[in-house]
Amino acid sequence: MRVSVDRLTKQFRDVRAVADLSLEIRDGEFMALLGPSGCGKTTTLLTIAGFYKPTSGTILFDGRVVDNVPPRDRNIGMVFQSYALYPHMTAHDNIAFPLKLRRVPRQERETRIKTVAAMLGIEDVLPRRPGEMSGGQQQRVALARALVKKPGLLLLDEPLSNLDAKLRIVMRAELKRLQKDLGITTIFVTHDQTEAMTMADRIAVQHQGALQQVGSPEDLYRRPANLFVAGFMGTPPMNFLDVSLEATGDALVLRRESFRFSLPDPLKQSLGHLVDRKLILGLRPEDIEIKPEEASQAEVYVVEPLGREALVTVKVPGAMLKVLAPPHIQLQAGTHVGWHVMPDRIYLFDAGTEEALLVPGS
Amino acid sequence: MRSRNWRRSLWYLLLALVAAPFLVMYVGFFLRAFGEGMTLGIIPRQWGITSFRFMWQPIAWGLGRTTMWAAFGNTVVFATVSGLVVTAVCMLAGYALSRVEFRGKDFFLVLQLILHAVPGQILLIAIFFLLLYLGLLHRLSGVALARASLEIPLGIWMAKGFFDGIPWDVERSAMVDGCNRFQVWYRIFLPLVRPGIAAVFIWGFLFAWHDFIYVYTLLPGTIKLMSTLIQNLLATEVVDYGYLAALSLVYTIPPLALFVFLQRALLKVPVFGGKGTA
Repeated sequence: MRVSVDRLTKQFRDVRAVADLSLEIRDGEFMALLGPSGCGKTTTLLTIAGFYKPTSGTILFDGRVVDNVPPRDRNIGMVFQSYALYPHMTAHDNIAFPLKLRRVPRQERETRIKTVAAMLGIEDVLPRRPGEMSGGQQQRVALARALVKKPGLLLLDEPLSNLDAKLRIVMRAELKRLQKDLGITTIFVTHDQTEAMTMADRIAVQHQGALQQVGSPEDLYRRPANLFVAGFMGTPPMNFLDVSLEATGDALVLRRESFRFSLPDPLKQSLGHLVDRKLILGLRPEDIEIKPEEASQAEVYVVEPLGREALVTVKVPGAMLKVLAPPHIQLQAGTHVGWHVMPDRIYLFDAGTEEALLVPGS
Repeated sequence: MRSRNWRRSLWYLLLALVAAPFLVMYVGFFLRAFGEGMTLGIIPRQWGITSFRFMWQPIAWGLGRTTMWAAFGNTVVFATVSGLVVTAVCMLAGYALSRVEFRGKDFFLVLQLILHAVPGQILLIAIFFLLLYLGLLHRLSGVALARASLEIPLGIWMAKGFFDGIPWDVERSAMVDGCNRFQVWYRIFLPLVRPGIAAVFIWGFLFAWHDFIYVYTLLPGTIKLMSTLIQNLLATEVVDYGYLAALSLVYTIPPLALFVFLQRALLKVPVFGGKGTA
């Protein structure tokens, strides 16, 4: 099923939860709605499901306007953060419930329940009630209940956030595989950028009700449209430094107190018009290199070994930088080190509009 | 140490004094019901069940006679009808007030509290005429309806409280699964608020069971209930207190039995899965 969100606005009294959102979800696509809590992503999902009426704008399924279609007639399956299983029914009856309401004959019903239970590996919990299942089992039952009616659209509202860290990683992969196998159009709401990055075909980043950017995980990571997206994608997050662009002789220099960074020639051409503007320099932790043998004003603040690499916090005048360093590097807190940035790895943002002015590879 | 013990006994003395009137009352009640030939009005000479003779003998009522069983049966019907009406109305209204948005909802809720604050006796005359015009006066069903209407306002609040406890996601799940609003209420919410149904039913049943003013005024003489039967016995010239105590004892049994019976339902709360809530 193809879903089009056309200029959707949803207003609750004096709060604008979603503002002028347009989004196209292709048939069979796995789309993540990503944003911090309160950004309007769940409101968007509930409006697509039909629980909220748009204040303005429309929602179309396969080109058909569905604004006045109640949730039960939208042919959607939904999994909630709390799973929302019916506590007075067994897992079997929970999964059977949507089929009973559709008056699917008993024989076909049982076959379909068996198939979906086998697919999700929950055959042995079928006679149990939700209260007697683990969180992971409840989640699978909720997924089975959503899939058993063969919906055209699957909506997932933070389905992984109640699972423990280990199980979350397992389910992440399983959900992705399941979605690809079934080819079912899926919209997935999450506040966790890792979840969105690892699972989705495309991600729509929402902030304060407004859509920031839509694109593949790679796109959002490599070519963020603005400061918010740049800061939201990636862990540890991008470092930001307030800088100004100054022309010294025929060189262009990014300046911040004692820090100076001369722009290489190709960039000079394209950024010449930004001289004397307030800018924000963005540096990914993996793009900064620490040189222990050099000394500068940068001081190692803390070192956090992560096994595969070490996360080093470096104190530079007026800011803290997060740097991912190779694990073998020997650093002591308090020592002064040098640090370098590849000129082709820098991001620049307008300090006023927060729009991206320069991203690597552009 | 000593002063603490002292203070403690002082407290117990005070508590005993406060409890004494109730204890004396209840003990006296049982002694009178099962004792025969009282000395000093409280010490029985021998035990027996002659006070319970109303079980097999007719009771004088004005110039006619009636039996305890007739009054008992009427009271069961009266309280049950009233309890069922309260339950049905409150379960529907409570759901609507918990889940449906409509204009004037907050006002309606406050109005229910105000209505509950109005003493039922004030409405007696109005209800008398209302039932008269509806042709329901002197009828058990009509008076049961009137009696139920007094308990509905607070019952609605009780029911709403139970429905409020169900996460929104459960309702949304049911709607996505294909339920309309009525099916959500009937197939998902009612089973989940079983304790609430029991509580609201007991509420409606109990107030009707021990009601006196309404049945005395609106069902004069025609239909006998337990409360009017007891009043009738009190109005005679010679009051047999043993007989009265025994009859009152029988009068208190059904509400107690109902509590014990429904307690299982009250304690059987379905557990919501998952760690999160709505």
